[in-house]
Amino acid sequence: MSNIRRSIRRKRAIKEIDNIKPMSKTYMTIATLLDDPLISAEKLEEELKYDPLATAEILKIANSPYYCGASGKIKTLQMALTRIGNKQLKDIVLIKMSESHLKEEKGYSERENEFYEESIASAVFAKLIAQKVGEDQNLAFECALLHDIGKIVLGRLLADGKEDIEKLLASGKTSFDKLESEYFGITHQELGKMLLKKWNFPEEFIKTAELHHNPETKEYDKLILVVSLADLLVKLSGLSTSADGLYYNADNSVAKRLGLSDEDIIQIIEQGTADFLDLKESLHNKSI
Amino acid sequence: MIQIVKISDLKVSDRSEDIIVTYALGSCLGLAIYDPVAKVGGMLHAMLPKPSGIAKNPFQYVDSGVPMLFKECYALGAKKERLRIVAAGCASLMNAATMFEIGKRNIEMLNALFASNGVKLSASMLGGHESKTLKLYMNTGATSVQVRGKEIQL
Ligand SMILES: [Fe+2]
Ligand SMILES: [Fe+2]
Repeated sequence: MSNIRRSIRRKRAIKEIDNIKPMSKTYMTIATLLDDPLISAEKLEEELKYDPLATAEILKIANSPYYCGASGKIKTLQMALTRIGNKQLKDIVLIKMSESHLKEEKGYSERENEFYEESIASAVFAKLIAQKVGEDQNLAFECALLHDIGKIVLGRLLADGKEDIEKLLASGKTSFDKLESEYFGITHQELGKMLLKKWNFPEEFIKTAELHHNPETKEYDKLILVVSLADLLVKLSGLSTSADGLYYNADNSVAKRLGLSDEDIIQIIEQGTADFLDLKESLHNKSI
Repeated sequence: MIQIVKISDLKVSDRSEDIIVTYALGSCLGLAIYDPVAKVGGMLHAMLPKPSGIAKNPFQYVDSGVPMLFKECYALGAKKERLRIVAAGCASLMNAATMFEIGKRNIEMLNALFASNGVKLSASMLGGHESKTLKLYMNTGATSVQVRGKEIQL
């Protein structure tokens, strides 16, 4: 494939970032407010007053069996703060914040809302792994949620290269991210990094998006390992059917470096799948 | 009617108008069985070879789900010696070592079960790196696998 065509495609992909709408300011503000463990519900309500549906949708997720046990319904943001805490509430706010972006992905996804669900499955798996290895659970959840966000950019261009991409995949030797860089001159990791930088996300988010398929690089830290493993296990579990399938290298050292055994891997898949199903029903707004 | 088999789920039928289908077989095993005389069939979508502890859902595992698929079809009148058996799924990540070889371990578990019960696969599409969709048409017993948008008869 010619270098000139590749660099034209690369430029086009980077240009496509301009066509992605910005993240919701309201949710950005609320997410920041929720970093304060002493935040009051009134402050949150003040931010949300122009978006009455948002509170209902946040509470719907907070009331899923994943967050809320059998101890009665969470009816207000105040109850949510005391019952599930500011950190978990922030996780939920980030789901709502990225929802419309994640749902717009149509290039990799073969089914409606697939990328949205797959991203949340990654988040749930990452949180579980973080808990097992003593890493920040909420940060792992949030970074995993957005680790593949670059796909919403490259996904807009995938259809153009369908034939060539199928040919490259047919060899059975090219991983999907390698194929992206061969065809487009850029990967979903790099685009994700650019997008998150543009949106002023913290460094951890940017690094996870950039390195989740290359955790063997020197720059890795535990958080990236956690998200990489979550990503691989979600692919194995079949919670996604996207075009990139299982065309990724299994970095067998990831689990080992996290100190996890074969048995742990099975347990994480079992528990992660159950956790995701506990959350899944509340993710769609039809019944509100 | 289209009967969807979810992850860790099992469906059986004796209605010729049914199409049984399961989506998103990653490293999971999809198993379809059909008796053309009784016109009874069923499908399993099992995720893992065997449980790490006590199984909450037997359909999640090859070792418990496969026997249940056969038993439920027998209950509707299927006979072991008439069954056509088709397997799909069990994909793997690239360059996976044992830790991640769930698909391969699912195949091994299935083979062990079949060997000890004298049962053989009629057709299969196992392995590879893509996720697959498995279908069983109850009117004819025809089975197909859909990979990357293409439906292939099995
Ligand atoms: Fe990725
Ligand atoms: Fe991913």
